[in-house]
Amino acid sequence: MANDGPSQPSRQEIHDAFGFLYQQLSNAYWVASTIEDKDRIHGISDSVFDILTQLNREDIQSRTDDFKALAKSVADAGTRLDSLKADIDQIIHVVKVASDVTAAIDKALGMAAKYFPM
Amino acid sequence: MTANSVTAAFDTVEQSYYQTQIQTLIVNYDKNGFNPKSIKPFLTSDDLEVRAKILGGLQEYAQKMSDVVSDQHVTEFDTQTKAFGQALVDLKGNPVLKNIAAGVPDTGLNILTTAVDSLGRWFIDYKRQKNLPTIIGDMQKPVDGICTLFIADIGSRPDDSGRGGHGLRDQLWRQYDSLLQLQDEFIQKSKDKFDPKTKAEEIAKLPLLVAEQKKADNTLKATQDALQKLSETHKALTKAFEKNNPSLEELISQLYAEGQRVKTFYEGLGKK
Repeated sequence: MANDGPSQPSRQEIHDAFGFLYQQLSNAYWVASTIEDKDRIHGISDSVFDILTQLNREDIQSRTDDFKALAKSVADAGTRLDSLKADIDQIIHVVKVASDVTAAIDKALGMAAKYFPM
Repeated sequence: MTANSVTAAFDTVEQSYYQTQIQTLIVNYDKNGFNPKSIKPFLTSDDLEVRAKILGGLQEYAQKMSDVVSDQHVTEFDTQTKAFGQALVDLKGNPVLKNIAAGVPDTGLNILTTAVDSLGRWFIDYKRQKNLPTIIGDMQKPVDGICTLFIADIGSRPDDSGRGGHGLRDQLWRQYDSLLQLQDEFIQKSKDKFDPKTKAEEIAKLPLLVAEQKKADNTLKATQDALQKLSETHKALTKAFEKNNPSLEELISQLYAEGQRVKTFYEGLGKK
């Protein structure tokens, strides 16, 4: 059965209603002439500010799960780049080992020649 | 840099929210006193941690990408092959091998070293060309998603009627509105107790807050623009690596450049 009742207002619609009220109160604050009036208006304004804060908080929190889902993709890309970097480092390492071995052979032969004159 | 700006956006709103609560406490202290539970953060640590983790991950991704793409590896490889070439020359000159290696000219060793260098460089390029397009391509959707979510988190400031705002920009804008009223109330309530200098200083804070409100909002807006650019730049990076079908002219140019590099490398051998 179709629901013919009034539709639920969106978070933004609620936000706009309270935002408008807050702005009206703010305008009223600056034209109020006595400190008592200002104090009273600011007291109401404060409560509306708390509601708007809660709405903004909920708006931001509504995306936290989406961020959590994306965190894995970012970590995966980092791991894959690490692996690629390791592959490239390995190529450099192989030549370094070859160079070290060649130098070590040179040194060993030099020492050997001193002890076992040919 | 963009990641730092986004972190700063959250920090700015959090600090300003704290400041608003402190100012409220100061103005209403005589009436309400102090309740330790009244000071609260704007966002929970769970909300902030996951965002910080994402931003840290993006920074690491950019750093690792820069490491892999940079010439640092190739330069290091050249250094290592040069050292290898020199080690071969030294070995050939070793008295024990002198007789055996007498027939091997230095030019031959240089050719061998250059071949090792060219092959290694080609292999490094091959590894990059084979892996990077996939990694960057797979990251495009998450990068787009992250930028869209952060842009939505930052939101928009309210219009002049007070409508249309949401997210960090709305929150920060309203906090400044509140701070302005609190500062004004503070002055109104204490104006008879201020000395002229203090009174002037406190009043001067009002227009400063108005200017700061606009400046802070513009900074958040600029961060949104930077996030938009980040997504576009990453897209361009994907296209750059997808471009695996260069024109003949480009190929010749690349070949020439590679030839020049090999020549320079070759000529540099044996010169310490």
